[in-house]
Amino acid sequence: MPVFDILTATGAVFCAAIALGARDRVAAIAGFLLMGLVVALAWVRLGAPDVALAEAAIGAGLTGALLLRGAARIGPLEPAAPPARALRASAALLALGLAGLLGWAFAGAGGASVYPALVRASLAESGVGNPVTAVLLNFRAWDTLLEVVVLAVALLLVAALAPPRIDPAPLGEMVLPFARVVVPVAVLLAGHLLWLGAEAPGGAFQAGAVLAGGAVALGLCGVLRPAERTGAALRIAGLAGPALFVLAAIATAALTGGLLDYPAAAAKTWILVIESALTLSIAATLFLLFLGSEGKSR
Amino acid sequence: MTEATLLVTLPFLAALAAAAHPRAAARWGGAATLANAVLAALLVQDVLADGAGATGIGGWTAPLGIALAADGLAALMVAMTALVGAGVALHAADWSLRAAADARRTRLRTGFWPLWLTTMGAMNALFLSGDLFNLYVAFEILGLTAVGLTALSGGRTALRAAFDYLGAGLAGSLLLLLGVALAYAAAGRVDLAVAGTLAGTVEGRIALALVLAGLAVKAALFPLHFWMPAAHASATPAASALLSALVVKAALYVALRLSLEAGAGAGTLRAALAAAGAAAMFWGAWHALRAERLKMLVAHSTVAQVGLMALALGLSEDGVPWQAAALLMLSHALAKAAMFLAVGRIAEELGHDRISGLNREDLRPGAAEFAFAIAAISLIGLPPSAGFVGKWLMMEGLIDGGAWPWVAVVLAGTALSAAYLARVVSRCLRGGPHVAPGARRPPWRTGDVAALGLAAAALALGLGSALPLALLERTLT
Repeated sequence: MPVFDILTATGAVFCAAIALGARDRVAAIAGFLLMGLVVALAWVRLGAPDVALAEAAIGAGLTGALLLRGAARIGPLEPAAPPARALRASAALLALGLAGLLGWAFAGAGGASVYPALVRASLAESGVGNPVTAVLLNFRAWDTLLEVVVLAVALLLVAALAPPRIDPAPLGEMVLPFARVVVPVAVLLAGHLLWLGAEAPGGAFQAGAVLAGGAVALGLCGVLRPAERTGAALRIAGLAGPALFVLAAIATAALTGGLLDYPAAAAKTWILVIESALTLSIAATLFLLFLGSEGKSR
Repeated sequence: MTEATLLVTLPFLAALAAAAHPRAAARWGGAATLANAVLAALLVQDVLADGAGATGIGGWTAPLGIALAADGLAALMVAMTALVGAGVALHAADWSLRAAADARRTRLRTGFWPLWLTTMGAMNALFLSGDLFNLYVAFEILGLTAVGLTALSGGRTALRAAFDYLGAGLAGSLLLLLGVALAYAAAGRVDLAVAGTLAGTVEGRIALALVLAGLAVKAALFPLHFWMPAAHASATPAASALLSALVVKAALYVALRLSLEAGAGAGTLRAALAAAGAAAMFWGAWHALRAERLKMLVAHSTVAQVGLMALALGLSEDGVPWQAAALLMLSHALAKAAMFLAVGRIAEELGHDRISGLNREDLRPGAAEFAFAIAAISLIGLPPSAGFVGKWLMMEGLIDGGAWPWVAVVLAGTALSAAYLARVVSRCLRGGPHVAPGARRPPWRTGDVAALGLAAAALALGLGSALPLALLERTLT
C-alpha cells in the first residue's frame, strides 16, 4: 500500500500544480477536477468513505461544473502582468516557512482525540448506526444547521447579485441518450445514499449533490429550463430545507426543553425527515448555483 | 435558556421567510429585529438575576456536544447587536419606504433584510457558542452575509470592494480553520475550554496564533486591515453601519474570549495584539487625517478604533482589566453605527461626501450633523460617554501598573482621534456670517431618529455604565 499512498500524495500535488500553473482556463479546471478525484481516493485510503463521497460529488463533480460554467461566462480576459520576481520569491519563502512550521507543529501535536470513545459510548442513543451521521445530525447537529444556512446565504447572494442568466443553446440530441441513463440513475442513487446514510456511509449532502448532478444533465440537454415560475419554485425548494431544519430545532426545544434534543426513541425519524428535506434543498440550491440565477434570462 | 434558544433560531427563520416572500421582506425584518431586541433584554435580565447559564445543544454535554453558554459578556454582546440592529433597521425601513417608488432599487430594498437577519442570527450564535469549531461555522455565515451587504449597492466600486473582502475573508477563514485543526491535533478536542490547555504547549500556542491571525483579518486589525476601508466606505449607509459597528466586533469578541480562557499562557500572543493595536491606532489616524471623503474618514477611524480595542485586550498583563475592552467594543458599536448613518444622511443631503465641501452657504447643519458630533464625543472618549468609561478603566489600570509608555500611546491616539473627527465637526459648527440668511435646513427623516438615538445611547451609557459592568461581573472565566 505505501506505493498507492505515495502515488495519491504526489498525484494530488501534481494536479494542484496543473490547476495553478496552467495558462488555459479549461486545463486549469481539469487539473482541479482531477485533484478532487485523487483527494477523494486519499480519503478512502484514510478510512473516511463519507468524506470521500462528499469530495467526489461536491468537490470534484459539482464544483467543476460551476467552475466550467463560470469560466465560459467570464469571457476572454487580458492576462495580468506577473508580479515582480522578488515578490514571488519572498511569497514562496514565506509559504515554505509556514508549511514547514505547520508540518513540524502537526507532527509534534500528540493530543489523543477524546471524540471516538465518546461517540462510541453514545452511538446507541443517537438513533442511527453510522457514526458520521450521528455526529452530523445529532451530537453536533447545530454545526450542520449553521452550515446549511451558509448554503442558503450563498443562494441568496447569487440571486441578489448575479447578472441576468444566459441560457446556452441546449445540447439536445447529443446529450439526450446520456441523460436518459444518467438522470434515473442519479435519482435512484440519491435515494439510496439518503436511506443508507443512517447505517453506512452516505447522507443528505452526498445525496443532494448526486441529485443536483442529474438536474444539471437535464438542464444541459434543455429539458429543464427554468422560466420565471419554475425558478421561483426551485428557490422556495432551496430555502425550505433550512427552514424545516430550524423549525425542527424549535420544535424539539418546545417538546423536550433542549435545542435539537430529539424526543427519546424517535431520533431516527426526526433525523430522516430532516435529511430528506435537506437532500431536496441541497439539490435545488446547487442546481440554481449552477444556473447562476433564477428567473429572468437574457 | 429559552431566550438563548430563540435568539439563535428565530432570526434565521425570519431571514428565510423574508427571502421567500420578498414583497414583505421589510415587515419580516422589522418584526424579527424587534423580537430579537425583546429577547436580548430578557436574556440580560436573566443573567443579571440568575448568573451565567449553559446547556448542551441536543442534550449532549461538551466536548461531544456544543454548549450554548449565556454569561455576562455574551449577553452584553447580544444586547449590543440588538440595540445597534434596531437602530439600523429603523433607518433601513425608512429608506425602504422612500425607495419603494424606484424600481431599480427593488433588489437593494428586498435584498438587505434576509442578509441582515442572517447576520443577526449568526452574531447571536457566535456570542452564545462554547465551541471553537462552531465559532468557525458561525464566521462562515458572517463572512458571506458581510460580502453580500457590501455588494448590495451594486456599483462597480462596491462589487470590487466586495470581491476583495471575499478574498480576505476566505484567507482569514482558512487561517482560522487551520488553527482549529491544529488545536484538535494538539489537544484532542475543540470546545472553548481547550484554550487553557493549548496555551501550555508550543503546538497549542501555534494553533492559538493561527486562530488569532484569522481573527485579525476578520477584525481588520493592522496590518491585515487592507480590505476594510474600501468595503466599509462603498456600501450603503445601513450596511456600512452594520459592518463597521457589529461584524468586526465578532472577531474581537472571540479574541477576548480566547484570551480569557487561555489565561497567562498566552502572554506572547497578547503582546503581539498590543503591538498591532498600537500601530493600527497611528496608521488609521494618519489616513483619517488625510482622507478626502467623509466615508473614508469614518472607515479609517474604525481601523484606529479596532487598534485601541486590540491594545486594551493585549495589555491585560500591564494592568488593563478585560472589561475595558468589552466597554470600548460596546461604545464603539453604538457610536460608529450612529456615525455611518449620519454620514449617509449628510451625503444624501449634500449630494456628495467630500469633506472640503461640507460647509455650504445655503444649507444649515441638521440632525445628522448633530448625531455625528455626539458620536464623535464617544469615539474620542470624552466624558460622560461610554467611550470615556472604557478608556478611563484602561488608563487607570495602566497608571496603577506604571506602564507609562503605553499611557503615552493611548493619549496620543486619543489626541489624533480628536484631530481627525474635528475636521468634520468644526465644519459643521460654523454658523454666523458663513451661512446665508435664507439657508434651508435639511428636513427631518425617521432615519435621523436612528442616528440620534444610537449616538445618544452611546453618550448615556457612560452615565449608566454600572449596568454593563454588573453584567460583565457574571462572566465565566
